[in-house]
Amino acid sequence: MTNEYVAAAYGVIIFALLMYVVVVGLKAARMAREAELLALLVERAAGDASEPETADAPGPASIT
Amino acid sequence: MTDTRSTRRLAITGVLTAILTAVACFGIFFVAPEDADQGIIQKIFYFHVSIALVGLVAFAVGAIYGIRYLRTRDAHLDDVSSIAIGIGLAFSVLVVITGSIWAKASWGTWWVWTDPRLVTFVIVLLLYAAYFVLRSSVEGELRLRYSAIYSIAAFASVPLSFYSVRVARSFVHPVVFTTGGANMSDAMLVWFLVSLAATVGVFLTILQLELIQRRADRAMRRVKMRLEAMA
Repeated sequence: MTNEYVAAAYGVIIFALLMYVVVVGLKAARMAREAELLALLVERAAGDASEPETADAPGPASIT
Repeated sequence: MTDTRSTRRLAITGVLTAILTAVACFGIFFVAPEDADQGIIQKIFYFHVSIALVGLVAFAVGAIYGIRYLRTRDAHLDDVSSIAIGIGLAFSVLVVITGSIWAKASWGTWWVWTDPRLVTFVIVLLLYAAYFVLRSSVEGELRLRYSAIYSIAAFASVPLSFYSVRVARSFVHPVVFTTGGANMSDAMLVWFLVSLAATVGVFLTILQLELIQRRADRAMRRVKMRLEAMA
């Protein structure tokens, strides 16, 4: 019977560590989503900045 | 320019901790002798006590960095303080759960309300849980200042818990480490020290991981604010 108690005690520690891994994974996923959003905002900002230029002069894409 | 030193430190600490934990588990279950009185149930001791000690050290780290924050007002010091307290709190919850399982196996009950060690430990746990309630209820610079002050004040309860079992006469919780030394065989002590080192490693790994995440989170928020201001 005592074997089960030892297994339970160590199981609790392993479970807690695994739960922490899940939490870290969720945080990493949230950060990835935010990074994607920021990349989108940067791309949009770059697009907005290049629009007036394309009206008068050739943009970076046409130069390259 | 980005700082890659913290990532390298995390990798080294993580690998060392994984090796130490594996060695500790092997030693505890296959090498360390079984206790003559309690048998295999005593194996809970190795991580139960290690987590308890490292948890209390984490609260001390929280208080020290709280003091350092109040002196310098550097937000990074508040990060270290709050993360250390978070880890200490999580470790304390694990101590209570593993302790209860051990108590049920050896004393026949999950909890003893008359034991000063158990009760004072729960008081410490609740005090530090209140730290996060306070932290979430205040905004801006005040949050950091109140948190630092509270981390120092709450630390006063830690020696109370540590010495309660040594001062009180009526208790069921055993005292393993006394001024006369450790009440266990050398073979057990060696594996306890290995598991203690592994637990310190777990603490340092989580601390570094959380610090890197906070740094990334803060940098991302800064970029987001700048972009929103530009739009």
